[in-house]
Amino acid sequence: MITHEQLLAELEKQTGFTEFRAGQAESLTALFHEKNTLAILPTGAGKSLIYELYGKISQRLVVVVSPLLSLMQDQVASLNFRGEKRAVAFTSMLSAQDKAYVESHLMDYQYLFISPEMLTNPGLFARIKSLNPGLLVVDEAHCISTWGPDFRPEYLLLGKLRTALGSPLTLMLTATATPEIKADIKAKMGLTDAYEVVTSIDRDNLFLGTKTVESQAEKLTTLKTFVKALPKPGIVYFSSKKMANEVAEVLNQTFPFGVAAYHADLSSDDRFKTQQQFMSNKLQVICATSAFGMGIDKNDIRFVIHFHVPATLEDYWQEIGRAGRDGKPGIAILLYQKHDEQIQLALSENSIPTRDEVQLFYRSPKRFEVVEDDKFQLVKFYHDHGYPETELANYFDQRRMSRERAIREMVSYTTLSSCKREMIGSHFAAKMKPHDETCCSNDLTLDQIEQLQLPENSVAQDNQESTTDWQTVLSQLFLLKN
Amino acid sequence: MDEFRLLSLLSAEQPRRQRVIENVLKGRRTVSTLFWGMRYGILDWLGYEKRLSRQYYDGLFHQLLAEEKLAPANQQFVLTSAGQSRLTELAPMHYRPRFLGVGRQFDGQRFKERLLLMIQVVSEFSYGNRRYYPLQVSQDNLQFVRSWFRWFKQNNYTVEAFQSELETYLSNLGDDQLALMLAQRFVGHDTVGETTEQLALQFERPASQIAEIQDDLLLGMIPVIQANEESVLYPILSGLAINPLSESAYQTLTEIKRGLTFDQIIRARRLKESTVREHVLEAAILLPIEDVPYDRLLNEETQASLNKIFESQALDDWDFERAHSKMPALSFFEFRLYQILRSKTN
Ligand SMILES: [Zn+2]
Repeated sequence: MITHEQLLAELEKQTGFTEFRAGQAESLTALFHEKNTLAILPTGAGKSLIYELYGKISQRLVVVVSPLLSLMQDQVASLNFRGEKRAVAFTSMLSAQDKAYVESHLMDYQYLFISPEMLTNPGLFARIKSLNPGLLVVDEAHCISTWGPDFRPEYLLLGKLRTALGSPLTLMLTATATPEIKADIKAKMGLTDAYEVVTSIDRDNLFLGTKTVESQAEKLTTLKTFVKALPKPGIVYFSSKKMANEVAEVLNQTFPFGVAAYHADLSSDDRFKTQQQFMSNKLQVICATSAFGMGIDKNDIRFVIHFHVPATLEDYWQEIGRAGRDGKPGIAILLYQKHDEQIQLALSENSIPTRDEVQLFYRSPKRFEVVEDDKFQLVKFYHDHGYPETELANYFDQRRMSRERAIREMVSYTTLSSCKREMIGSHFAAKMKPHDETCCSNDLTLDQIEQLQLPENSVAQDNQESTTDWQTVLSQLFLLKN
Repeated sequence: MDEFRLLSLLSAEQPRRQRVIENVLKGRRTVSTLFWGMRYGILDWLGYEKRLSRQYYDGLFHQLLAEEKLAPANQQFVLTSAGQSRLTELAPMHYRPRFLGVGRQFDGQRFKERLLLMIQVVSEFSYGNRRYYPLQVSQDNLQFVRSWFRWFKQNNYTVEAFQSELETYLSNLGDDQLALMLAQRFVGHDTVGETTEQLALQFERPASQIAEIQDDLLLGMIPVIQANEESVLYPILSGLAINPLSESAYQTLTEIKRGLTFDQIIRARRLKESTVREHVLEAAILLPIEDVPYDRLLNEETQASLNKIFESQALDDWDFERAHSKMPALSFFEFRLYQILRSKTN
């Protein structure tokens, strides 16, 4: 068995850190006592350090199941950054060649990131099983709960897959979960007696502000005013790539500091450059879709502004959690125009199959053997796993309602005149700091921002100026010995 | 694909088919597309825009017709003088790829990934830094660059040698702006270069064009590396060559060179006769003249008769029916093969 002192020694040896963050040591201790663990740790609290260290100490394969491609790639990149090369993301994006390579070199990897669907591939599954993994990690574990708004049907497979793997020690990770969802995660994984590690979800250094506007034009003006007044760096989130592009261009023309858009349509080179320039503060503001920031280890982000209402309080809380990780004051701002939620309602309407669509599928499933449409893929998933038609149709109705409920909850947060932090606390059944003047505002003003005494701008590192000749670029790239 | 590109793929003298140009860009390798693509001299563009949409392409085509920059000529199209002057007017703002042909011989995407990662690795190495975010590349390229870098160190290659190869290439481009655009694509220690959007602002060109220029200039490094076996970059080419022919067409060609007849090939490999003929025509179009045994495929007599029939006619206007009426035994395959041969000898 491993003692706390030994854990600390390993932490320092492997990472250079001398102390754990909240929840890390407790989770590791539980795991080394062979306890399956559900850990609720806020974004940026160093969830990945838990399994990273577990792998390094146990020297056994760690399999991390994760729902999002971009998240997996970011996690592999940050392991690489810390000098750990034995990490790979096994995703649908890999070429056939790469898949074959990884499959035949599986024993060379210490960390395997994989999506639930990929894990069902029989050949790969057998190989993983034969390597006898030391730890199964379910990242974003709330996706398994049908209660939750982020539910992903393929996560339902995980309980069975875990048993088929020989019930390895399991770590379930999530940033936010209501009590119902926590219970549901454990039930769906068949681990009702899992040990629970809970840290405070409150981010008491973040001021929560909202501002209601009358028009799109006023929204843009308000955004400019806030972006101008706030210390940088910061992130502005959008629910459309087009808006992210357009606003980035406007801000870039208006202000002397660097602003860029970030979304899935950029080439991978441009995504890399945008992230790195933001890390070094050459770019001070990023206009992003939610794809941005998942794996970013940047502590000094001062503000997160939402230009559109997110779909759920869970999403919102995770996204604003990227601000103020250094513990210094930061601010989260939500801009709202009446009926903004229509976008989210329409998105949810379009993503959940209707009764007619379910019926259409069940009448002739053969017609849908090869189907690209997300909705029919979803119906196919349940059909192939033996769900009766009526039950499924009812279930989708329920989901539609729960998505709508989540969006309405989000809107009520936006317009709530009493304490917003208190509302978040009661949503997650968590203890929050009591309201004071650094807590929240339903009608954010520049005066309020000024009174917060936010820290100064982070200063850009060197090489901030664009280089104007290629010879200089080359000579900066390589440090020559003489 | 924009107005400039489409205009530049058309000609004022040679009438061209709307669908051939589209199919060349999309990379459709039918014999007819390959043949006319060769005749138009645009085969280097084969597969350059695999995702080109029919709707977009036709829309653009009709717009140019309506603006009388193109004119119909016997179900084909020529550039009008308005089209020619528009092309001249647009040219300074556009980039004409210099190394298109290289992209047909080598896997440019894998080359690019390898090279950019090598630059990053060597840059960080020169600063003695081991903690950095590597560029995201495929697993096999990642493994490739790792083993290349071990080789680099074991053979005592220097950062200077590496840098000087890049420097020579950029300097030989003979255009400081282009060299800067390419250099800004590189990523290394504390330098992440500029995104295509940032360069677009700086150079007042669309971002898509910046990416196109960078990709082209990267491709241009391949022949330079290939010509220098001493290059520290030489190993990068391993496994990147693309076979111009399909496996099956290549096999057919080899068998013909070994003296097998069409019938023997058809029976042994259970192919259709038309397939074997397509293999031969594809090889004839895509390979140099000495790689295809024309004399074995076309007897002297046939060649002489065809030569006589079409003596005074431009190659693009040759008509199979006319030849067929005078030579009843002539097949379309022989006719087309002779046409290819003559294209290559002229
Ligand atoms: Zn409050």
